[in-house]
Amino acid sequence: MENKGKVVIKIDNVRKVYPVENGDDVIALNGVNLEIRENEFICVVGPSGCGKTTLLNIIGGLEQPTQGEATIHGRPILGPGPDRGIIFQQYALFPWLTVKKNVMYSTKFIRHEVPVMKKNKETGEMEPVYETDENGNTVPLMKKVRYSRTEREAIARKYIGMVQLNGFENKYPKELSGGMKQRVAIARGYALNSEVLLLDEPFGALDAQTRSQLQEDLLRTWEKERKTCFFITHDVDECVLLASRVIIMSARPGQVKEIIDIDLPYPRSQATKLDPKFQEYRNHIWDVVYKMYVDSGSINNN
Amino acid sequence: MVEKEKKVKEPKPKGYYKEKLTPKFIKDSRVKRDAAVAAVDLASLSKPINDAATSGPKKMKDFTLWAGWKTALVGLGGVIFVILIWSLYAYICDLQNVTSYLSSPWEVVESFYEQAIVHPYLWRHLGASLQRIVIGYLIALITSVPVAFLMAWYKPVRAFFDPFIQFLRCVPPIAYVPVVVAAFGTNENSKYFIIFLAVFLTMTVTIYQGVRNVDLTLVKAAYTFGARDRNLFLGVIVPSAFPFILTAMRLGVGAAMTTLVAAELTGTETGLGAFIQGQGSQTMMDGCIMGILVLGLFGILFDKGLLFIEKRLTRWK
Repeated sequence: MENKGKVVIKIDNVRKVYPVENGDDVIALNGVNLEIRENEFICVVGPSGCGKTTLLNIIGGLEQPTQGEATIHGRPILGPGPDRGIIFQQYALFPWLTVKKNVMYSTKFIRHEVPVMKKNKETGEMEPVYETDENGNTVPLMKKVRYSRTEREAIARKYIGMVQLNGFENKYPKELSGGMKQRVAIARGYALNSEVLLLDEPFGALDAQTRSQLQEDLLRTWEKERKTCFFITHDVDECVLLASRVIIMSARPGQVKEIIDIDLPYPRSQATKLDPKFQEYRNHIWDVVYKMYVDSGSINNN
Repeated sequence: MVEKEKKVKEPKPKGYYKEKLTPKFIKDSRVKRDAAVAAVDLASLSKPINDAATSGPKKMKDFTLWAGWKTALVGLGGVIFVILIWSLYAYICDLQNVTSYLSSPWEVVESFYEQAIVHPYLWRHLGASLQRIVIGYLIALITSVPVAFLMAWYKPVRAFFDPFIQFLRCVPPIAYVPVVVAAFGTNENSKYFIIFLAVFLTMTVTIYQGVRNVDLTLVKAAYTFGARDRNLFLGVIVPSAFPFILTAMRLGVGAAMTTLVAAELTGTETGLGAFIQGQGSQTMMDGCIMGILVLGLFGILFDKGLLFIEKRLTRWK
């Protein structure tokens, strides 16, 4: 990509080892370096066991690296936070909440800035309070508040509409199909309005048709908002279709094998798959991934 | 001086002692089995039979089609069947005029008319029992919920309570009746205590399991939305475990009803359990059976009531 954005997340020489009793420790990640820039759509592909999910968990703050550091805007990532929304493969919807309440949950704890208002004694109207900042300019005094219930409901409604689930607001997750559940999870992830969105094989458990539909939906939303995405998949077609940059990882130990900029113009759709350039990228990535399978002995190459 | 070479003891390979300790006949049988498996000629095996006679399409029974009225009708049939057997046995006992004796269903109905409708004895006993059940049950409910949550959340709490729970689970309440009487006397406290203990054990174990079953992905998800620990407790853990709390409440009612008789062995003349005991000791079998039936029917009533509430509160399940 030509105009490279600001680095948001930096993975610096990260190593993750899972200790195993009476046996060799599992090295999930070894010497991984990565920069995630603003407005990028990064897809990570690789064989199972290459540490894709571990990497996502480290960025999400759900796990800590054994060595090295993960930072967001230069600050080390110590735990999960609303600046990094995660969409899980297992949907992770709260079964006791309706679709609307599930989506509303993501705005429950986050805060936003609003001007401090004060009643003008003469006119009796509400007016913003002003203060002088360090440069001597008069600016409205701001305060951080949580979203009100109505605001949260409005946000939820917007994103439920975005994933085309209008009319299902008051259904419980058990009443929805797998694809619909994942749409709710996506709506919930978007409603958080986090700076970065981490997606852990979100379409892995869905049938081919639902998957293509959701891929298109995701592309539409990304093209609109250009939210930084970190998407994990094992589907080569999916990664080329969605990503602006593809990261191929190899297994045992998990390492970054290759980084490829996907130079296909957005907006994309399923028709992009017919582009000869798409085929080129796809074949190249498939070759690299397939070769790793063969090398690891997963496939008998006779 | 000749330097003595130090003898280095080599560590034994993994599984060395296991192999060494295996008796010879087991090793022999393994060799035999392996040889037999190797000797099977796969090519000479005939194909499995796949014709319709052995594995053809079979219609699967669909139990979900059973209508509610059908279930009720079969249940009623079962009740009538048992009443018939009961009547028959009572009739045989009556005919032979032997030492065995059983009141007939009709005598039980008469006893109910006599002791519940003509005179209000039964209701007074029932009232006393209900008071004991409600008080013992409520104390158990209030205490078991926090104990179960703490046990699931903090290992030391679990380690503290676990031996007591495992021990008491194996002891029938009737066994510690004399101890309770000696410790608390024959007043109401001893009854509350026995019911409390039975209900507390049942509910704590069930709720504990429920809290342990909380889906960790949901906890992770809540954290990514910025939830703190206290938000997590009320927002994720409690609702997740809520169905288990309701199940525990139903199981607790069962425990309370089944320990009622034991509780009322601690010296009292009121209460349904005491009533059953009293009627039994006076060989008034009709009253005895009637008491048992009333006890059981109230148990069903409570259970159905709680089930109704449970269905209402956990529609999302």
